[in-house]
Amino acid sequence: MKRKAVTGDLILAQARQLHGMPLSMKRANELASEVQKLNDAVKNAEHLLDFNDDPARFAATLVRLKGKTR
Amino acid sequence: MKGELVDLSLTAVAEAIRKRKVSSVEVARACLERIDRIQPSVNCYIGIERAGVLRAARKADEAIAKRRALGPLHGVPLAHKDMYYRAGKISTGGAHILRDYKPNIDSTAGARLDAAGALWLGTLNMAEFAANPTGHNVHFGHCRNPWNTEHITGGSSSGSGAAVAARTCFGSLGSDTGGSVRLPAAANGVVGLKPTYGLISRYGIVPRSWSHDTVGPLTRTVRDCARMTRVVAGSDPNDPTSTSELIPNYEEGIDAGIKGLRIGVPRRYYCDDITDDVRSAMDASLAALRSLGARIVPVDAPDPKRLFLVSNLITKCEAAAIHARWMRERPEDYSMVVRARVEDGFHVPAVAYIEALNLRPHFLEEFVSTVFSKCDVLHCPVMTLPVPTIAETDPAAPGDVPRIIERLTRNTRPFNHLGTPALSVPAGFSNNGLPVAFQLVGRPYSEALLFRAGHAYQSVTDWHARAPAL
Repeated sequence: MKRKAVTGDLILAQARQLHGMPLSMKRANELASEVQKLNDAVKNAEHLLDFNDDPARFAATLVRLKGKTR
Repeated sequence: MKGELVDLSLTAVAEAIRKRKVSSVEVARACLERIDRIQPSVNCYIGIERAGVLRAARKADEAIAKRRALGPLHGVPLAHKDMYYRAGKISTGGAHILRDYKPNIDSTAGARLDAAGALWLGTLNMAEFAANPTGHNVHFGHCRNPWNTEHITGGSSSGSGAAVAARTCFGSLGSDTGGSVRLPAAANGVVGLKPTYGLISRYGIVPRSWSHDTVGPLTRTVRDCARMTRVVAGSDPNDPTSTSELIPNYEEGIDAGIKGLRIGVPRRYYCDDITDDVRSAMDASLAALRSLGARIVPVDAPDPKRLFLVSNLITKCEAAAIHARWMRERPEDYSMVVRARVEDGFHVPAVAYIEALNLRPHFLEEFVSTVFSKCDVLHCPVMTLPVPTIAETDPAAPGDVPRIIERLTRNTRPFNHLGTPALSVPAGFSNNGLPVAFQLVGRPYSEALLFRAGHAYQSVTDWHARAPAL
């Protein structure tokens, strides 16, 4: 199923029902646009992800790819 | 010697104290006099510890007289971003909410500076919760750029950049999550290091985003930066993300030069909207590096926009978790900018956050194989525009915030996501008279190489020796 755009209504509902934070509709619309942009950045790179990925692998990758220490 | 004391570099003043050419008390007094002169116009200090620093300086002088073993920063006055915890002392984090906050632990970085003999001169202004690259602070007053007080200092380590540039202290710890050391270093004409993620312990600092936070020094010279980094770097059982790699003496070999070093210049993206005056400074810096024997190599670096956005997603989610309770219970105690920067994080799905974390090693592999197969060090501007004014970067509404943040941090944040080290080095002045800087980026744990290249550059230029007229 194709994903629909994040809407101000969704943000407003989350703010109220999940987080207990009041929000104006104008601000909810702004946040919807920003959240959409951030989510899209991840979705557009998801082909790089692997079943065995683990967030803790980052530190090991830094060490593995390290440069000269001098 | 007194009239020139505050102009000495950190390593030079440490040497002068050690050899008893000057006392630590004299140096501390010179710093305090300088602070009194510039604080009303620059506002870089939140707390000034007059009695404490003079007491510590007297002890430092006694230790020299008694020929005790001395640390590499013995008797040298430093001041730090107001987010390094000292048990029982206030750490405001530049935030109204933490105005009276007294943690009961010491930061590892601060404790290591103490053990190396450094003195604590005061706590420095910063952006609220380290969350604004302009350096604005509505709670403690904006810190102002000592080169022109109408202009921003850059942030979030605003006071660190201004205090070091204004010769009130010899070095400072800042923190860098998206550019917060490099931006104020660049805007104030001083050196700043964002180290490899995990090189320096984050234990005992105000958190901004656990997966991206780094502790970094700001100093006047690259050699000074190398010394401070060596003192604070290394494994810490209190920070499970700290490195277990051995820390070299970064000052050894710093004079070895850069003949044959391949310096990469990105063909695209990093200079896309650069102004002519900043480009001229970048070109001149590359010419200076070439004159030292480096080879300048064009490289195809991956588009940083993707890194910027995925990094932003992570820091927003982590900041939302850090601030969730206060954002619910006392939102009015945050500035509009910090609220605006944290709010989005509440609405990003947890799955997207974890996927973003999982993308980091993939992005790092791609960047290293694409860029560092062609060059040893990458060169690009810290900011592609001249340092703007405070008025130009003051958002009128929350919706203005992302545009301002992105314009300032587009070249810095990607390297926080990659976890690679990046050294900001002063490279002249733009048409408005404010400093300009390039950054040198290397493979993980290549700080020694960055210091060697930056030091070589400073051996044939004098931008770092220029001081604002105050």
